Amino acid sequence: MNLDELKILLNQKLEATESAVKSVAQLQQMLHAKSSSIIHKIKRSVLFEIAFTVLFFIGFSAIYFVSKQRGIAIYFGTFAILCIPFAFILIYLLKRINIYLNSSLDVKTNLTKLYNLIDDFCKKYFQFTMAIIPIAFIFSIYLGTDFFAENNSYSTSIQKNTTSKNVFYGFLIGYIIAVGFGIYKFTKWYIKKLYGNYLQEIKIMLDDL
Amino acid sequence: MASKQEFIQLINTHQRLIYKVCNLYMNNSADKDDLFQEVCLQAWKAIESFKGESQFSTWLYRVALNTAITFIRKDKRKAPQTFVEQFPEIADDTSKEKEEQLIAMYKAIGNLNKIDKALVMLYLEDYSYIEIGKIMGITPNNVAVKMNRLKLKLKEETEKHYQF
Repeated sequence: MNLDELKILLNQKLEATESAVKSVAQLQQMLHAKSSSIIHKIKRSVLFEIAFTVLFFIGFSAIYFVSKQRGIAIYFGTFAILCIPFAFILIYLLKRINIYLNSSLDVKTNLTKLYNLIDDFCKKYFQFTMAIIPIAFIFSIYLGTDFFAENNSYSTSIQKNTTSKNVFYGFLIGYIIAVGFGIYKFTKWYIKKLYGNYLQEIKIMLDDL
Repeated sequence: MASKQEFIQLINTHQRLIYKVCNLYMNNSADKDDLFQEVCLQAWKAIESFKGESQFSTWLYRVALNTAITFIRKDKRKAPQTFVEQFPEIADDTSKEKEEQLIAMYKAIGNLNKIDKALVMLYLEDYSYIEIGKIMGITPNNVAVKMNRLKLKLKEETEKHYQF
């Protein structure tokens, strides 16, 4: 018994369904439902991030102009500037997602585009998180030094004693390395958990084609 | 560009086609309904890309298969029915033996990967290898090679199941 011999019967069976045929009203309602596809989730996430980037830009800029402490002003001013390229990257991703969603491609091209889009999103997310870590640490040290300079009682006790100074900087470097490594590992794990398995599945399907 | 009403009419006329894809890719009614809805949504979003160069059914197949292949079940904790458990029964004159063979074939198709399921579905719809190639994005030769392999695989699997 082969596929050709069963073609007609099998076709009938596939067409038969226990679900009732949808009414026009039901179909109409479906067009207003929220999509549960991965790409729509990414789109929602990108829109959410664009909104927050704009909010952060406004907030950070406000702190920059209002703050009287030079360290704080530079810290938030730098992050406000960083929000600008990040917003452009997100808008670019959103544009690509919209083009993808409004097209009807063949299966192979569709899978390739979907793979590239999700992969790009993950890479940009990872690169941006990693780029923020050294900037955040450099400014933390700068702000800390600024704080010590303004609060003599803290700084004098450390600066007087060379051993304490070495221990302090040793601890600081160790802390930066540990937290940096932790964030690196966590971000990798988080991205893999969210999209890694799905990407792997698409890759296997593309290999099948 | 089709208006919303025109689009709904088109979907209404072709809903059997969507159900077919849903039946092939999903194993319980809740998942089938979710996929059906997702196909309708994707088709509505992409309707502007339908220029009438091919039949609407061919275009809809492309959208439905793309959606089904990349679809993820909402609630993965819910145990799905096996492919055979949800085998639809039709009151017809199919003999008992034929019915068993059909179930075996249905089960074998259910065990295929998503890409192979799409190929089988289009083959069952009597699309030519050229048309299948266009929908899948591969050459007709590649379709022919894959179909030959698939037919052999299904035959072996069916015989395995049918012999019990």
